Amino acid sequence: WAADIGPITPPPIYQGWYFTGDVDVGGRVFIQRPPTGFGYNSQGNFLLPFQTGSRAKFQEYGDILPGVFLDQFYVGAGSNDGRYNANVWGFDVGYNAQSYGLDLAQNGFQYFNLGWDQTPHLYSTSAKSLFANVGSTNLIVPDSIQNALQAQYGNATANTAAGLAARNAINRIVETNATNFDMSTIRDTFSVGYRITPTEEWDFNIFYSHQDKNGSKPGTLNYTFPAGFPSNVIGLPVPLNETIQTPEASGEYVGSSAWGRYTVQLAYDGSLYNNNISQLAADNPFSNTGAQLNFGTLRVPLAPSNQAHTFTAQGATDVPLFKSRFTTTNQWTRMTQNAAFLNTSNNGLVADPLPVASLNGQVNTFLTNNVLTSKLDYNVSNSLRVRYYERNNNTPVPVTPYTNQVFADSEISAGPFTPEYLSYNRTNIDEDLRWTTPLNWLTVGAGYGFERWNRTNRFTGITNQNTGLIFADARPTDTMNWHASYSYGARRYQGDYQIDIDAWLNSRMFDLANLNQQKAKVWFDWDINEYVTISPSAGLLWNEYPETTPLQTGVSKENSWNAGIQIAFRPLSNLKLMVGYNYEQQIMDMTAVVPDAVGAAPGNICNFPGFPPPDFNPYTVPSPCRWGDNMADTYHALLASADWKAIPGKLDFRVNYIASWGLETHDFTPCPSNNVNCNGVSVLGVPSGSVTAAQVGLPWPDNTNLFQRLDVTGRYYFDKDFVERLGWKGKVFFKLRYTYERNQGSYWQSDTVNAYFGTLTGNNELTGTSRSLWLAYNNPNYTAQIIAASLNFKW
Amino acid sequence: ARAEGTLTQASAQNEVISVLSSFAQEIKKPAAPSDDQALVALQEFAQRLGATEPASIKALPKVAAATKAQTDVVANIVGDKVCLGCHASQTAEFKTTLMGRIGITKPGKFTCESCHGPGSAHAHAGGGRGVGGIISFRPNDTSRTAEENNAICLACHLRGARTLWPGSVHEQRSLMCTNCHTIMKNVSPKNQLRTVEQPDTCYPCHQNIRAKFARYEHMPLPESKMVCSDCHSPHGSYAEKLLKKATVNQVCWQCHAEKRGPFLWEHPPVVENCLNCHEPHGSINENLLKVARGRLCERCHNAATRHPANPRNPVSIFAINGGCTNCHTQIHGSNSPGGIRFLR
Repeated sequence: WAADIGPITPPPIYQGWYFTGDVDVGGRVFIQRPPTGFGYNSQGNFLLPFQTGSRAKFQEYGDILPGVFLDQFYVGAGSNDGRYNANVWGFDVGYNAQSYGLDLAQNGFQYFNLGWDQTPHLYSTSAKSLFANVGSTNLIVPDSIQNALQAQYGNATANTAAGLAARNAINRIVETNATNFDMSTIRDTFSVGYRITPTEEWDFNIFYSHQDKNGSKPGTLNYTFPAGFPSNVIGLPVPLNETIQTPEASGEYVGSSAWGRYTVQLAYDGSLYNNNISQLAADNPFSNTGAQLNFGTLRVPLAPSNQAHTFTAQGATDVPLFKSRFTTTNQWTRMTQNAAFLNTSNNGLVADPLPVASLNGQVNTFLTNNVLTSKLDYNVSNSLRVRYYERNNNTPVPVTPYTNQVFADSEISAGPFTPEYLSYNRTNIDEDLRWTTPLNWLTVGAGYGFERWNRTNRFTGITNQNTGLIFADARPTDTMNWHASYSYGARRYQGDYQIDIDAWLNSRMFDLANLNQQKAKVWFDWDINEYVTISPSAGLLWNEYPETTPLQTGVSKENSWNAGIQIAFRPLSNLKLMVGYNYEQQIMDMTAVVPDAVGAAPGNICNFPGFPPPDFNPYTVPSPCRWGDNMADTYHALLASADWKAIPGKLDFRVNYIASWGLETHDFTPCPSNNVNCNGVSVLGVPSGSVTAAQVGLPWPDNTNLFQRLDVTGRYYFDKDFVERLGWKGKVFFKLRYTYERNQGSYWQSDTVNAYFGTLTGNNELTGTSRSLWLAYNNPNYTAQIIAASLNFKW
Repeated sequence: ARAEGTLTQASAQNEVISVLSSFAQEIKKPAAPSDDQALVALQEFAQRLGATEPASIKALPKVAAATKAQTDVVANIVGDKVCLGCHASQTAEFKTTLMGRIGITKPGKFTCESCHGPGSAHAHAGGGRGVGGIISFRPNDTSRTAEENNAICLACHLRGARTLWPGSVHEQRSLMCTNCHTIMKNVSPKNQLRTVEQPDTCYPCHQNIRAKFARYEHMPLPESKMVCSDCHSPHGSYAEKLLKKATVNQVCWQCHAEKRGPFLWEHPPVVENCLNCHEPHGSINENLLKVARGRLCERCHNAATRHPANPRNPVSIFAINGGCTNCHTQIHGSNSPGGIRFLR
């Protein structure tokens, strides 16, 4: 029959070009749109009840507006011979989170891409301020307002009718003159990249990005800081005008030697940060005199411009012995900063001349990471990693220390102050042995890790940690897959723990202190049958910091664990369901002591005899001077989705739901008796104001947050014939989407300042000595309901 | 099919699948492994049979004796055309991928059997997952280890970011390339990921991280303005946690370069690790802090003779709003000669 064989079909000929695209255009309306913000409470009560919503959090990373939208577009073309293709795409066209890209490729040879991305960060749509020129680097409060506030300020602390009248007058002035403004930043990033692979051995990449960041973000400044004067805080919008340029270049060669294949890579990464604003000045709203002790001008330097340059040399080669492969990475980074120092003279306080005009800061880092992997046997593999990283702060220490500098625009301190720069190195040695058991589907392993930190200018120089690890990975059947690991590590400091006993007494630092650490993870995936798959997972991180001296303070425990499960269910061929749940708890226990200052009232048991050292024994701090807080964060996350192809190829629906609930609690342990404050003094019968709230210490309220989002999307695919009769060659579908999104939180730290005015240093803000002004910017609560409809064209 | 040319190509492939499917029906019983040469001849003959109605070879009975552990299977190269008999649609889709396109420009470089191994025994056996020693790359195919499967990909891809794959956590824990990548079709815009959005590829194993990103405070990853690989290098790294840079801080400074310094006055925990205070994947506290401010600072400043060690009333100026950072605004480091207390 061979004679019957005719010509065989020739291979297909690829010629011409293909074109493809995808456009999604439509419009949205709000059933419920969050308001721009909450209104000012004219009662002047700083503890407002539940606030109305704000759209700030809802639009935190991009505007969501009613009206038309072009959600995305993608246009691509390429040659059918596979050589060339080009893509242009965009997302959120015309919105402030828009991004665009252009990709050109000669496939397998060279690639070029351009990109532009905008990423906003909206902090508030309802911030309030007395500053007349928000956005400026010299924030001004009109003289008339300053004068009016100044006139009332002196009387406002009195616990009298006159004092009350002064406080109410301040409230009215603020209420009348504060203006609302949006506070946000936006990053504009332009990027360009090119890659060429002239031969299979060579590969070159260059990349450059330029990012502008503009806008304003929330900040604060304090003033009137000397002893005997109140500590006031002014909230203010910090202007941003900065750029980050990122040049990168790399080259790679892959070749063969008698040992096998090897790779050599060289790379450069740069990061050039330039802050176009060196400092921010702001009027003191409560003073128009500008004289010393009236503190007319608040001033703060902003982040200094800096640069970082990194060179990386990386290589890898096969090693004939035990089928090994050796990989080495060596990296040098230089970080520099030499912005001119701010002259701290201010408000009539004259600072000494500086020893140098700028820091000439220089930090050099070096990294070497070396990995040897081997096959000791067909079923036994070994991995050895030796890593060393060092950070050397080579900034010159000025011969003449800094003296007589103005610290908070109101206090000049004599010094001398000499900076103590931080350097450290870190060494890691990790050895892992892995055995694929005769079962073939089960791999088990064990490992050992050693880590040493060696620091300068910290309480202890060297810490050593030894860690043991076991793990197992299994695929017992083609429907099961699981990974599990457990490790135990012990960190101990070496030598002395030279704590600054004056400032820290008997404290342990969680990053330096002795540590017993356990980690575990398990993940399981099981296709129970063709309809159901379950994927449970769990993990824990247990950090215990044992006492090394009696009655040691600080963090004693920092534990977290999580467990979750995901279930995928396919009851029908056209219906897929998924539900997932995850629980996490993070616990942190700490204790602290509150010693009183020398010269406190006789009988104060926390007025330690002999304090300060050397006569004082920090290990004998009596329990009435100790307090504790056990913090617990609890999180629940529920995810569910359904994908129903009601009429396959014609009509489908997708439902997504997510709920995330978080709770932070503080289990506060006050000093032993409610009648004794943390300085050991009885507060019974003490007049209000004599014992400060700070000394008593009250439990902190819970923070809670519940975020929910529901998306229901329906798609209707038009008949192909119908589409073609309309002159379109491709697919067209209509999409209708309903979205419900709600965030509800209770944050005592920000909720209490939502009323803009009112702050305190004592029990009662109205009789406290401070008069602070806040931006009242933070309101994360909102509810939104949206209906969006769009047409999607694909070709 | 994306365009006219591709449609032409697909038509040709449909024709091939049509005739080979008929051939498959013809042979009913598989030939012995040693009959490979005859099989090829039969396949060529089958091409000329000209059957017009495609039929599913999957409807045919499989070889009962075929098992998934086929290490001793003897098989030969049969060429792409044989594979097209059953896998025409996958092949057509593969040719729209970057690797498929490069394959068109370099005939013979990306044949089916370059990755899936010799296919004669598989074809003889009538096809089927894992049958005939074919390399399926399915993550749940227990006939081959992850290392064996990955070696096929790494034969070309052990370079670039994958240079650090050997010894990496994902390699050590037996992950397969195909756990994350879908080779035969475009699902993601780039990098052949198994999901459209990159985080969805990572989430099935890192469910807890997905839960964290659902929290009130998070970086704009759920909003598609970031992806996991902005910070992590899943193919291997010279740092912990598969970070892209040598330290946690260097990762963060990619976007937060203003905090890099070096500063005149340095704050030790800031210099060493941003994660001493921040939880980057999501938090209930502002600015992704691990616990509420005040307590956050008192973890270390818990016994000072000055104000930080006081427990603080919740309406105190030292606790509300930014807590300690109401005054210590330059907590990430200060470059002011008067900034030793990070007030300026």
